[in-house]
Amino acid sequence: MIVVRWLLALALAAAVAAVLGRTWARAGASGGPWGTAFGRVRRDGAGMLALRFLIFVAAVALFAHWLAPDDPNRIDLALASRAPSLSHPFGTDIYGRDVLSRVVHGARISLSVGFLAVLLSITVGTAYGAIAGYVGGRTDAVLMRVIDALLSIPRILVLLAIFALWGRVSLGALVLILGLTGWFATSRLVRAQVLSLKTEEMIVAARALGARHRRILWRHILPGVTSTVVVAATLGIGNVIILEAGLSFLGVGVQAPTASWGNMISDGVSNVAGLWWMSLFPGLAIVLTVMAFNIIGDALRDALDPREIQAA
Amino acid sequence: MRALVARRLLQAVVIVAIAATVTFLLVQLAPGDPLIELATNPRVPPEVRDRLIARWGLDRPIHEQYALYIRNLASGDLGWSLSQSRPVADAIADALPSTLRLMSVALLGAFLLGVTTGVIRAARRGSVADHALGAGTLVFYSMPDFWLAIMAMLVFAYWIPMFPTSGETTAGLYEYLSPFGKLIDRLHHIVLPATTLVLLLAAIIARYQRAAFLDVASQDFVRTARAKGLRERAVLWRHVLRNALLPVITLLGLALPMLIGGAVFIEQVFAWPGMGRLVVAAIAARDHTLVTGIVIMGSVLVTLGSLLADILYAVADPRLRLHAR
Repeated sequence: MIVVRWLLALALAAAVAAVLGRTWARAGASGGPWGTAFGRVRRDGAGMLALRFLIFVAAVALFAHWLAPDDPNRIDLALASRAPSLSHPFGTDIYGRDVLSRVVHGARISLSVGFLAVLLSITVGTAYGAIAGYVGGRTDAVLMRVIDALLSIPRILVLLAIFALWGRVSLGALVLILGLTGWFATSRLVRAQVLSLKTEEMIVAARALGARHRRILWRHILPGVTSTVVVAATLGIGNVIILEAGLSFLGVGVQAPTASWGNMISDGVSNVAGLWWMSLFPGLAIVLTVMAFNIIGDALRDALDPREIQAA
Repeated sequence: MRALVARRLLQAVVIVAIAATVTFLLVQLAPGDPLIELATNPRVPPEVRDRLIARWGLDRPIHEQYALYIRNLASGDLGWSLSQSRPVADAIADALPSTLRLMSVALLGAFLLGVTTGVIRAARRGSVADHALGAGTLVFYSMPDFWLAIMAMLVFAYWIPMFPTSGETTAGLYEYLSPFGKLIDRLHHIVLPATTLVLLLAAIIARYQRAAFLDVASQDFVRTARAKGLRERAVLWRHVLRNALLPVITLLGLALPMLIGGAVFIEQVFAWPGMGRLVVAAIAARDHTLVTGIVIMGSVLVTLGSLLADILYAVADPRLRLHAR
C-alpha cells in the first residue's frame, strides 16, 4: 500500500515536471530573455533531472503524513536501534522511531525554512541594494560600508551569538533570523546591477519623460535585476538548508522532537560507529536536495547570461 | 602602494568598529539583563562583581556603556568569562593557535587542490575530466561540512581504523614522545579534520579558478599568443595561468569566513581544542561575554584576511598599484 503511495508521488512529480517543461518550451518559442533562458534550462539534461528531483522532494514534503510509513515521533523501545531492513528501509533510531519517516517529515522543515528565509533575505537585500544603487552618492557609500562590515562577521558566528543570547527559538523566529542575516551579499549584487542599469538610455528617457522615482524603480529597475536575484535565491536556498542543518546539529536550530535533517544527524553522532544509518540518510537527503538547487541555480545563471545567449 | 595600504588599514578599523557595534546592539537587544545575571550568579564574588560593573559601566546609561565598551575593546579587554572564570582574551588566546594550525593547513591544501582542479577543468573544457571533476566539485560544494566530517570519521577512524577520532594529540602519550614523534602524532591527528576542510573549500576555489581561467583564455592577448605560433602549452602556462591566478588571491578574503564556519563544526566533530569548540561550549554555558568576544575576534580575523588579500593583489598586479597612486 505504502509503495503505491510513493509511486503516485513519483508520478505526480513527473507530471508536474512535464507540464512545466511544456510551458517552458512554449515560452522558449516566444523569445525574450526568460523564454530563452527556460528553453535553455529545458535542454540542459542535468538541470531537468535536478528539477524533477526537487519537485519530487517538494511532493514528499507536501504529502509527508501520507507518504511516511510511520508516525515520525512514535517511540517504540522494542524496535530501538535496528539496522536498515525491509520494514524500516533507513533503520530505526535509539528510541525506535522510523528514520525514513523522520527524513520524510524533515523535508518539510528543511524546504519551508529554506524557502521562507530566502524569500525574506532577497526581499530585504533587493530593496536595500536597489536604494543604495539608485540614490548613489554618499548614501550609497555609507550603506555599502555597512554591508562590508556585516559581511566581515562570519554568518555562522552571528547566528551562534544570536542563539546564545536569545536561547532556544521557535521555527518562525529561526526563519526570521536566517532571513535577516542572509541578505548582505544579495544587496551587493543588486546594487552593482542597478548602478549599470541606471545609466542606460531607457532609464534616462523615462526620467526625461517625467516618470517618478517609484515608477522607474518598479517598472524599469526591478525587472532588470530579477535574473540576478532569481539565481542568487536558488543558490541561497541550498545554503540556508545547510545552515539550518548545521544549527540544528549544534542543538540551537530546530528543537527536538521535531525532526529536521540537521538534528537527526546530531542524534546519531554520539554512536556513529554503531548506528551509522541514523546520520547517513538525513545527510544524503541534504546533499541531494542542495545539489539539485545548485544545479538549477547554475543552469539558470548560464542560461540568463547575455553573453551565452548571444553565442547560442 | 603605501597610500593603498594606509587606506585599507583605515577601512579595516572602521569595519571592525561597526562589527563591534553590531555585537553590542545584539547584546543590548537580547532578553535578560547582564546586571541581574552578574548579581544572581553565585560564582561571582562580590568584589569581582563591583569591579566588573565599574569597568563596563553596567550601572550607567547606554551611550556611556557603549563608549566604555569600545574603549575596553580598543585596549584589548574583551571582558570576563563566567564559565571559564578568567578573562575572555585569555580563553581565546589558548584556543586560537589550535584553530590557526588547522586553518592554515586546510587553506594551503585547499588552494593547491582547488587551483589545480580548476585549471585542469578549464584547460580541458568539455572533456571527460572536466565533467567528472565538475560533478565531484558540485557534490562537495553541496555537502554540510559536519556531515562530511562525521562520514570521514566513520569510514577512516572506525571502519578502517587509520586515523584517531578526536583531539589534536594523543592524550597521556604525547608528553613522552620525542620531538619527531610529537610532530608525527600531530600530523596523524590533523589528517581527517584538515582533509574535510580542504575538500569543501577546494570545491569553491575550483569553481572560481575555472571561471577565471576561461575568462582570461578568451582575451585578445591570448589570441595574439596563439596567432604568433606559440605552442598551446606555452600559451596556457605562461599567458593564461599567470593572469588567471590573480583573481584567486581575492578568494583568500572569502575563504576565511568559510574556514571559520567550517572550523566551528569540524572542531565539534573531531573534538579539536580550538575556537569553534570554545564558542559551542560558551553557548551551552550561556556565557555571553565569551560568545561575543569570539564573534569580534572572528570578524577581526576575516577583516585581516581580506586586507592581506587586497595587499597581495596589489603586489601581484602592477595595474592596481598605478591606480592607487
